[in-house]
Amino acid sequence: MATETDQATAEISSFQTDTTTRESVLLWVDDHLKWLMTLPAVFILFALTFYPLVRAIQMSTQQFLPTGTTFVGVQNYVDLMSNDAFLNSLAVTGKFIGIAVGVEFLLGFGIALLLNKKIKLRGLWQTLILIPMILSPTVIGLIWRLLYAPNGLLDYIAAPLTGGANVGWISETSVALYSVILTDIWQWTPLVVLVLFAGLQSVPDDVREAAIMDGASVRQRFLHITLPYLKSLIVLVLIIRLVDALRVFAKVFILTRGGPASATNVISMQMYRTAFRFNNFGEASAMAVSLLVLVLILAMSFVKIANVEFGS
Amino acid sequence: MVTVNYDSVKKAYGDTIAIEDVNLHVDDGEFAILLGPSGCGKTTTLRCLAGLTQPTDGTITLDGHDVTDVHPKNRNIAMVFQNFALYPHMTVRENIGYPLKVAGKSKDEREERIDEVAEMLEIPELLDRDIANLSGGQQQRVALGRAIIRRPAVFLMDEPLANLDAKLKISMRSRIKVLQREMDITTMYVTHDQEEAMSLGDKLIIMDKGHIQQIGSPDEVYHQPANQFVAGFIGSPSMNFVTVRRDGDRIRADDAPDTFDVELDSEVADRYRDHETFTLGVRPQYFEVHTERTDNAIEAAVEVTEPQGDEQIIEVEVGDQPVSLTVVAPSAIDAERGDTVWLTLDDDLVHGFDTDSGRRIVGAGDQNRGVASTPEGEMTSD
Repeated sequence: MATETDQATAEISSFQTDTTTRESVLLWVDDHLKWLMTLPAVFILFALTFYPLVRAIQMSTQQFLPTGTTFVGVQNYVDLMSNDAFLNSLAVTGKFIGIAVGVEFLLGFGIALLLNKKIKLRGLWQTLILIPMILSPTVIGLIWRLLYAPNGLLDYIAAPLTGGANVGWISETSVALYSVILTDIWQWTPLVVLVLFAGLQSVPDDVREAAIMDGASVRQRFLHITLPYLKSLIVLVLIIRLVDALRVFAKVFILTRGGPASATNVISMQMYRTAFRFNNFGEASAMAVSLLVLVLILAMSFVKIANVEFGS
Repeated sequence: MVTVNYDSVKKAYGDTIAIEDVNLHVDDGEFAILLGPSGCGKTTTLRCLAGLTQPTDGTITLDGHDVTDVHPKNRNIAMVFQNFALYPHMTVRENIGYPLKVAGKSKDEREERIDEVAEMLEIPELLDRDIANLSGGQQQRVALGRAIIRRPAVFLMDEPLANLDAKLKISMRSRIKVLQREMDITTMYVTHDQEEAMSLGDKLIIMDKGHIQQIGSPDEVYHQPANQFVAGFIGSPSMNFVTVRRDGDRIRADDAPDTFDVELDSEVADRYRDHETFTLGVRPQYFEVHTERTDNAIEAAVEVTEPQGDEQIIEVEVGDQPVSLTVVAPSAIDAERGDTVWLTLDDDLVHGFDTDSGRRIVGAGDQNRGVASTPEGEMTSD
């Protein structure tokens, strides 16, 4: 009897010691779980974002020669200022962004407003409109290269206007950039539609109706009620498109490779050439860093001007 | 002078009829309440006047002018919504002043009116606050302010107090009533809360399943309900309904003929001379509860008692195949679950309803306690 009790006590105490160690481990894990859980994401963030960024900044201060690298300070940046190809690519990119994002926004807003009316088969339209967005830019580039091909579908459609002559969609200097822009509009207008349509749907019916009862006209309701509801989404979608358009590469690469005669030579194309055709990694990195700064300034001034708070 | 008139208004969504055969008239300066359970069509009726819902059929006139096809913004009607529907990106001042702004009034005039309205609603200190920082009651006042600022011809309110807590509801209720009286604006107000309706309205329009059941003053709908629906909907706790068989002056409940067996005053019984069976309606307040056997009383077993302070609500069961009744008794009566009590009827105040049509059987000597009959009281067929 006595031994049984002793045994039981021993078991209990050993169990207790066990629990204490196990408990302390569990408690520690519990306390630090948030860090453990975010660790993989933090690691990926560092590996894929911070490292390349730091490396790019470092590379932008170096000159790459067949014999090795030498530190040149800000020389690469100074050279950029007088690099006609780079300055031209800035102008091309600016034009690309201005037209592409502008048209995407206006067209997308218009379609979103149409979808927001009680039109028939709305679900079907919504789905159809989203298709271009799902495709990869490379696939889109390939599809449109076929469309733009001499004697291709677009030439056929344009025949009544051109009298049967080929337009040279991507081979004519004066047309090529607009052809690339058209491709971008085709792909990214749906994003604007998606975001702004969601925004329009979020305008409560009773607020809309209250404005009607208050005597506001259609134009007043759009300006005073709908637009303020959409403001942060408009800024958001413009920033997304702006940043994305600045980085456009695959479409240009597949359609025109920056040609003809630099007509579609956007910044990313110029960077690619500088780095991989001329092995000038230092100057290419300097371009990349300049581009990053440009994007940051643009996005921040945008948020500032529109006076939008995200996540509040 | 702004009167509102609905003439055979109907609204259908496909095959579903939301409201039908709505005929009603609201006098100038009158406070009319549309009352009914959810889905009864009261909000649809209101929205037809606002112009936010286009009636399928019928005409609505404001002061004799047909407005059925007039755009809502040209009707000079203001509306307060259940969820307040304030403009979240505007300040209180901008919200209240919005109707004047879109009407093109000058800034000075706007400011003057805003201050005036804010004074009336006792919210001058809130004027420059953001909507998001207001409590429910404050938002409610802003919504009211926005509605009254342009002195509309008609005031519409769609359950404006539904989102407020009980205490605030009562204080806002009296504020709305005072405001309406002071401004003397014809008002239509939707609610499902019969207590709110009784306390606010000059005229109650009771609806069910898309049809008007009765139009009358609060007293009329309470004491002279047109039918079983109105009788059951108005009053708290709800009226008791028992199907009874009449034998001379005696009535016996169908489900408990041995216990529920009472002799009515012959004058009262005479009202039901054409009905062998009918539905007896007795408000819980019109039973008298005795703890000792009494003549001409119904023997009942106490199921639940709910003390309410001065009085108590007692649920009782009568007979073997029990007929459940709700009774309101003074709290002095000592009754507990399992006790036997005896109920006598306040003969004068019982109602009889045609079991098939639900309509109240009206007869000579149909009394109601302390109510002068109101001549405007109209009843519509359903």
